[in-house]
Amino acid sequence: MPLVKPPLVNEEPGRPITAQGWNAIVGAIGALYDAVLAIGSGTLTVSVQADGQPVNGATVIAEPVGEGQPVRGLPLFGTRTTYLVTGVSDGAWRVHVSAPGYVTQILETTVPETAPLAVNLARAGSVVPDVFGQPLQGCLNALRAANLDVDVIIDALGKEISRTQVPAEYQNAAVLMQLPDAGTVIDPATTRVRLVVAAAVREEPIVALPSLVGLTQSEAATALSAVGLRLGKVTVR
Amino acid sequence: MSNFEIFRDFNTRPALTTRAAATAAVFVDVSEKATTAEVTRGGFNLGEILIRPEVLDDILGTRPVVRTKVVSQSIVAGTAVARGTAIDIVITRTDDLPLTIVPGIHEAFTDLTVGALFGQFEQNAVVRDIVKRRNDVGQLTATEQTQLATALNASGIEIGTDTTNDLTSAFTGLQAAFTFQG
Repeated sequence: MPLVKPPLVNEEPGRPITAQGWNAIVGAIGALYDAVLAIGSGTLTVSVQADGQPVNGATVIAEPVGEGQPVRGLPLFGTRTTYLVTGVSDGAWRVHVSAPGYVTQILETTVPETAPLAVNLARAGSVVPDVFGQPLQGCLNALRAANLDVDVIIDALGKEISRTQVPAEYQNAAVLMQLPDAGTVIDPATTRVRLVVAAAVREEPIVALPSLVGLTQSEAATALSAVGLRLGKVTVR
Repeated sequence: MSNFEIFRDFNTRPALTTRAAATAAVFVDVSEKATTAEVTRGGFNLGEILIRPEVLDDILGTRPVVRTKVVSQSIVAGTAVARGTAIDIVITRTDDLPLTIVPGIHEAFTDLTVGALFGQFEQNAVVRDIVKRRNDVGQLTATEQTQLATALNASGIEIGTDTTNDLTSAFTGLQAAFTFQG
């Protein structure tokens, strides 16, 4: 019931009030009670979960099935794991629950409700796995397993890397950055993953020969091996 | 008739017979004989030489332990070479090498061997620590330069300003001695 403020007039002090006037006051007070009661003072508790865990950041809106205004629920705060909708009146309500990465759900309930209204959200896509630091080839396998396609791969120097046939020198290159972030739920049909990987180090086939003078034979062998060379003939004089 | 004679007349097909393949026998030696390895050199087996250790120990006991170090390499240091290249080296005992094999040494060292100079300063903690800690005389702090010059002066080695007797030449000689003998 909409609350409409009536025209209010003041009377001069000392003047008597008639029965008609008194009844008008009583009627107005009654209408005011009805309007306040229509606003509602009850609460509705909504438990929003996905995979058995509370979903943070959901939007819960309760809409009266009959007359009235929709009410937005409070977000999770403190140790609360359920959303709280306050100011609801007794009667039928339609509850809209939405959260990024999840399919929106609409449920109907009746207030007062003793138990929390349970809402289980279904994911609206695939969760991007955390591939930071993983070898590129393993990362691509993990993304494929999650039904996700890779759009672009570039190395730290900005060079684009083939995502269909990863060059040998990049197969173990570590993933330095991923877009979107790990844990983001994306629609594989419309969104793809972009990766930045470490630049491959190309092993130089030519090395500078170190000085071996003054080393023992085993030290010389170690020094040569360290730079990719090997000890040849050893002459003792 | 030999097989050759059978096939000499190519117009006549000889009577050919097949033989069943003989079953190969595998012999396993289960006797408890010691395993021996035959060593060959140039295609000839080398016999086993028995040694009388008590005689050998007497002889070796009188000989000093010889330290051998690399004195040359088949490719000059700093040369760019392909990975996998084999580098030949020559190693030798270094104690009796004259220090003159090292260019730019202090004039006081020119008559010494590597072993003689090493023996002179091996127990000198100041010299030993500086030479082992620094790769180049340019890395020496002012304090270390003073300490090294003082230690050398105390051993009768004058440090001058000429390239033949300055601190750099002394350090070069000491570094060679400690590298070859250390």
